[in-house]
Amino acid sequence: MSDQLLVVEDLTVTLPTGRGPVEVVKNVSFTVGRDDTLGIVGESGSGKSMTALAVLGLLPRGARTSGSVRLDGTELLGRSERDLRSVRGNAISMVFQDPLSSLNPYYTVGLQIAEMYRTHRGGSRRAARQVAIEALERVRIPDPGRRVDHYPHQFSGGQRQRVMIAMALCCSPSLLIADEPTTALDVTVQAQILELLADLQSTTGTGMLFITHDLAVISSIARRVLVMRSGDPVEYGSAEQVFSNPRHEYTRMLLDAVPRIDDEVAS
Amino acid sequence: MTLLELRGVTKEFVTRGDGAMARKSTFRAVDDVSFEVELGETLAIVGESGSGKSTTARIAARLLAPTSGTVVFDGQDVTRAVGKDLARFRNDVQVVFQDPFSSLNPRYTVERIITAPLTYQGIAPAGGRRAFAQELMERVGLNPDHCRRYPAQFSGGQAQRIGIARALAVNPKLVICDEAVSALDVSIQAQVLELLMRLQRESGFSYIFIAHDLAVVRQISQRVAVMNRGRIVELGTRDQVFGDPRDEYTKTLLAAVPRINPEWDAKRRQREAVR
Amino acid sequence: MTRYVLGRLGGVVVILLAVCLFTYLIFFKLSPDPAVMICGKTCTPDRINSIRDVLGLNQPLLTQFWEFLRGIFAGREYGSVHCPAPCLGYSFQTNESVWSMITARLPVSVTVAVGAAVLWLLAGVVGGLVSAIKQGTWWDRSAMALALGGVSVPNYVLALVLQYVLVVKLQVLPFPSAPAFGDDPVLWFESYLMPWAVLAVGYACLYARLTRSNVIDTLSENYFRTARAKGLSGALIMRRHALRPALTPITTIFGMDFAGLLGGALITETVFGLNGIGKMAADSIAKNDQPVIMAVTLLAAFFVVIGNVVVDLLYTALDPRVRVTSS
Repeated sequence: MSDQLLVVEDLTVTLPTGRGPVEVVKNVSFTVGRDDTLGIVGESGSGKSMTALAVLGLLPRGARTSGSVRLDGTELLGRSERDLRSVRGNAISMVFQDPLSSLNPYYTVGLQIAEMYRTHRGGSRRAARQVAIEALERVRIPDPGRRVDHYPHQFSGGQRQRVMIAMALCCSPSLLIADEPTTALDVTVQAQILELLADLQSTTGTGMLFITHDLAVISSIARRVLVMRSGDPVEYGSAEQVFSNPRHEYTRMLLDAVPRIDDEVAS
Repeated sequence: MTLLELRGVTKEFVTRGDGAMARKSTFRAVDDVSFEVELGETLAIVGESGSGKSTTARIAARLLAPTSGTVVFDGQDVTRAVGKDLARFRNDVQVVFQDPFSSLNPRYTVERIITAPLTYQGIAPAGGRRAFAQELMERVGLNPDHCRRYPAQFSGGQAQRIGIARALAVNPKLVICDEAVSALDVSIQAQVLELLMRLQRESGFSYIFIAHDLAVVRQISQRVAVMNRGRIVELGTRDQVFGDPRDEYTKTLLAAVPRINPEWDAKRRQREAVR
Repeated sequence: MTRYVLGRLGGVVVILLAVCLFTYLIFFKLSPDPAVMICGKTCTPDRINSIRDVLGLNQPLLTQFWEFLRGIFAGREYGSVHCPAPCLGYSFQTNESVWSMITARLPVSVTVAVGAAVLWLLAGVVGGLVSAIKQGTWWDRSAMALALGGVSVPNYVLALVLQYVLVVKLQVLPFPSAPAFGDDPVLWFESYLMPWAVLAVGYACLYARLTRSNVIDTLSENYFRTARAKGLSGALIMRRHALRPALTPITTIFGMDFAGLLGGALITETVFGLNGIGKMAADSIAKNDQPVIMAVTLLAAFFVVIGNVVVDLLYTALDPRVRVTSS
């Protein structure tokens, strides 16, 4: 157990709604090892995004949680906002789905990376700017010295997501949570971003929690898989096991529903 | 029999440039696009964002007029049609949009939404509107008792069925599906695709199916056009485009599509065949 | 960019000309014969006619208008009276050129406007921000109820009540006069305090509500969630990712409000007896001193039009998405 980076046990998230409190995540348990990728897959309403937000304490106001979320043995659930701030961006970073709305349009990309670095590592503005340039270089943004002073709307969709990834990794977190990071991107751009993530993961040894609805993406990127439906954990195991020998009816149904691109199809 | 033909269609948009500077520039969204759609077949147009596929769809539906080129439907030139000619065209060509919750009037009941095209075309259904709507609802797999409900009371997949029913109300010859299943969960997506194919088998109309998801396109189409930056870079039968693509971009696109590990998938299929 | 600015300034000139002509038309058509007003009680038709000659009232409208425009740049003669450039008219009731009347009183109005603006921005924006952060709590609800009340009270009522309570009853403040700051800073401050407060109340309440709703919107934005996920300190998140995006529309509204206020806070100045443009406008309306009324109207229009242009230019500075991109 101690070699697992993130251990989540019996996590339950309840959200207040107009119709009373609703459990959107019900008794979910999983682990993510160092240098490991766990994929959480589910359709809309499965609770997969809420699970990710719960890890970092970013749930909407009024949400209640129970269970345990431990990073390197330290309990995160229920900690104060102040304590969590030293974890966010530092030990655990998050990348979100839509990079255009997830970046502040009023500040340059460089500033948004630098402010994160300076919060956790301190240092002068100049040093942080240099860090930002290097971060952009690492995610293969061309001409990073100039583009560091550009605003988010001056980048293409794929580049913006690279910026988000650069920002997330600039403080060398041990765990990266990616919530549908490629869903809003074109398929060729998606392929590039997935390749970039795999590359970065292997060079930095960061653990990754990858959330998506796309089973094919999970198949290529995750070593272990958790399938969720309406808040319940449905299936949990290695990717090979879940894809070649799913135990649950729902998983089988999902896999059957995915349109194939390679095999025989009726005309 | 060729139902719809686009010949040399080009669409340019004039933009004023960013911010306060009034600098005009021309953006060519669709560049010299030509294709035909036969009666009863499905032509898919695939491409990434900015490829021009949605603009092409809108021109085919005559929601936009092209800058140059011609649109010929059922032998008639409808490129610049207005008034009665356009109304007749609208009876024959209908559109299903991507997001049912923004393309269906949230203040109309399902019954009203479905029978609205009849009103615009001046058709009064024998047996009354209610019966007509209910019959159509059954046909698309909705519970006819729900005809007095509002779109917001339905799930995404069900709401999309309402949109399909509406498109079928005037008995069109061509239905243009603009990313009609892109916003749906994968299990619902499969059901709606199945529905679309069944309806086509029953009634014999044509589809132009716009999508960015190649795997989805492969399920439903007979012919495929691949667009990149406003141009059609590949046009052929489904098997030829997927099995033996000629254009570099098509090859890149196909290679980029994520696939479920074929080994694992094969094992699972085997196990299920045994059951 | 310079092309744009020049274009806008050109537009300003055109608008001001149009406003000029329109105002002139109104006074030409609607107001009573100025010659009669000037003539006074002991009048004869001969005198009226000679006054009309002096004022050029017998000439056609456009000629009069042209003379007026010329006077703005070159000065004008009214019989034996010389009105130096820029001549916006001459008040025969006070025997002063209108321009000199304006310049004497503008500092007071500007002081009132600036002081009130500082107050209402601070109170409104801070109040709105706190309310937004504490959305739904008793603090938020009571603050917004108070704001609604503040907006609803007519400012002349507030002015009179305040003056009665603070000056007459409690005798905490003196009756406002308007000394120059250099002469008597304490009296200056005491004099302006109430007018500032009265003017600021209404705007502060509006701005509090506006800031609150804008900040609530930004708090729900995706980039705010990203900022939290980055582990930034609370102050930094609030400043950069909550407040700054919310302020853009507020800044532009403020530009318009402030420009409007520069034209003179009529009621407030009158109630407190401050000799600003507003009071001058009120007095001249009561006395039907046409040249003054017209000049004040033009001045107010001028501020609003300039304010409009400034605000538009400001927007490109404030919102990077609106700027010309270099790529």
